[in-house]
Amino acid sequence: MAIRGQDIASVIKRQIEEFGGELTLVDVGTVVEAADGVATIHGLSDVRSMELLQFPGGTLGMALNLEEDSVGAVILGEFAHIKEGDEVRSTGRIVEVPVGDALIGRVVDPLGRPLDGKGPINATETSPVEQVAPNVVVRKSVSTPMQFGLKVVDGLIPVGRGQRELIIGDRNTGKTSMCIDAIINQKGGDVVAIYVAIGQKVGKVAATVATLEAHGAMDHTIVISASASDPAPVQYLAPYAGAAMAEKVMYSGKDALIVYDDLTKHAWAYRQMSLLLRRPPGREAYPGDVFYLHSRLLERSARLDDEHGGGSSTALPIIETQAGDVSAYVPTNVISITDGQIYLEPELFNAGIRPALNAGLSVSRVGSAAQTKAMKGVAGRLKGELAQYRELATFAQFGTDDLDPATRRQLERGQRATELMKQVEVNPLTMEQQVSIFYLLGSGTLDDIPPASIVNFERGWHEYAAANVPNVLKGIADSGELSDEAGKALDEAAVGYKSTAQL
Amino acid sequence: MAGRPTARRYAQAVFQIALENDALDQWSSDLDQIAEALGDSDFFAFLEAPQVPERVKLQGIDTVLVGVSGLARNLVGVLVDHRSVRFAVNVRDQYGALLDRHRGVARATVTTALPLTDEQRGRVRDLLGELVGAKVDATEDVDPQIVGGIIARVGDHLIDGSVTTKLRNMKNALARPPAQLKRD
Repeated sequence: MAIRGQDIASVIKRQIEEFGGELTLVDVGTVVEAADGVATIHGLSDVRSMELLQFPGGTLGMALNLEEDSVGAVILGEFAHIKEGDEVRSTGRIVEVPVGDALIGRVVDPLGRPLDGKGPINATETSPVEQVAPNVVVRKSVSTPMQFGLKVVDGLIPVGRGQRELIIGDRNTGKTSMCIDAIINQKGGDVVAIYVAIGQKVGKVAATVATLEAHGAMDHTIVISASASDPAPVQYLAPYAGAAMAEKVMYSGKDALIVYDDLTKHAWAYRQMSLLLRRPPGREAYPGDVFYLHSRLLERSARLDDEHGGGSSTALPIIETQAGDVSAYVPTNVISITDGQIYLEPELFNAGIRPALNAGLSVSRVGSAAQTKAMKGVAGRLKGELAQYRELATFAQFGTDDLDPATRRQLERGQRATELMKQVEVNPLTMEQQVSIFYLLGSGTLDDIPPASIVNFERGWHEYAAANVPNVLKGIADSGELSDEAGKALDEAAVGYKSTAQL
Repeated sequence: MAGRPTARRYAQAVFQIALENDALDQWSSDLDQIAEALGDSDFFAFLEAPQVPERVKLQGIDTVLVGVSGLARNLVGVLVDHRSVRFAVNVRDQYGALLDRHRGVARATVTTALPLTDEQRGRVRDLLGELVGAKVDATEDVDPQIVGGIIARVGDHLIDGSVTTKLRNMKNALARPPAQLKRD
């Protein structure tokens, strides 16, 4: 970054001219108690909620509890040097972050300060982290797909732009990977992705950034990191800062995809803050407004109507469950706020089915409206069939000999469908590729392929189709429909492929 | 600071009594006297001690607080009864604040690098009075550390016109990246 001499000179000139000029009236208070990153301040009679406060030594704080006689504030950063009797000044600024295109490709903290060593962020605009969600009048229902590039999501649990889809599961079930896949799949598209890491290990965040960089996905991505070593108030702010950046994208008529990884740790950070601020604890020691904490955040994701630019902000909150307990306090809250959930199971994960999505418990409440006609046609019934297969499969463990042919056929199809849903990390498929393979499943082309060979078959098929029937694929991509002729062409290509394939 | 709201309630009650009886100044000096008496740690401990019967405490109050009005003596009695003697100093301060507000007086602390001249003092007082909309009663403080200019504090408001602060602001502004410089 080059600091231009002209800038400095002009600033100094102005400063000299204005020296001794304007006097500012600020609110001040005195620290009466400071401990654990929380300070009680006497005075500050005109301070506003969420206003930034200036502690000695340049440390910033945020006013939260406005009481009759004192103000409870959290300290954003180093707090060891703050002691009783210190003077605190109000800044007149509500907590805000820089927003806009300058942040794309950067890794920042929840106050928008760079963490990646790539120099200052040249953002020209800022936005308050807390904002009221778009109202009813400016919204529109979800109508465009947000492709993950994952067959199991795009086929079974489609997510639309402006939707809030929860990703829930135990630790180590592929929650983050799924979201990273979704971000990488937006490469070359018009979507700005925002990845918010809350309370994670710094090493894990670094690995995630490295993955995104390796796949060229940082060019459309902003990473906000509040790591496990950051104070709880900083972690608390992170998702709201991300939402503010996503809103900027949305209001400028573009599409944003925001991943909150994860809201369980966010709730923990808020619980810590609330307890230290002596707010009364409720269930599981969370404060009374822990529902509002997440509902107001997720409500900020929306699809705007064309009059208001038609932008959108799609939210993928992540919740980590303990031992599969989805009925804990925070998971149930977030499940009830979102428009559906993707449930990842350790059993499936360990059985080698990755993504380990449980088709029976996962649902997308609005996304199917956003599916293309072609996808709806080939994958519409798949979710039900898979869920049925799971039930039958448990039952059929005791032997399939006595089953009637229809049931056996269903089992065979289900086995192949399950195999087909497997997909390795960072290997996104386009919509037309997914449609073509789902079409082959539905048409029965895969019925004579042994389940163990399905993965190989599929890999070869995508290569073969790209080489031999590119026009058909392009037709599906352009029109979003699968015509009868296209179907026939795929059938023919499948016959040709099967004759050459080494399975 | 737990006692502050409590002390305010007592101060409000006292202030109303004083207003009704038109004895604002009398109460002011009574409260000063009470606060001073309670500054004596022996007397304070005596009033706080749970093992001393209340009757004895009231007698003690009568002995020590000679010259205060009957109602002021009653206030101490009530504080003893409520086990709130420790708030007495706060009550005095809060009463002072209420009295100031009633009379439209604002207390200010003015810090300068050099002592103010009479002419400057008058100007500062007028200016501050205009700003806060009240008569200003200023205490002065000299601190060469601020280099020049003036820092005035009225209640919770601070007007910082010191040279040190300006220099610091300038330093911060220069340390910022160019894009942010251009913005402001």
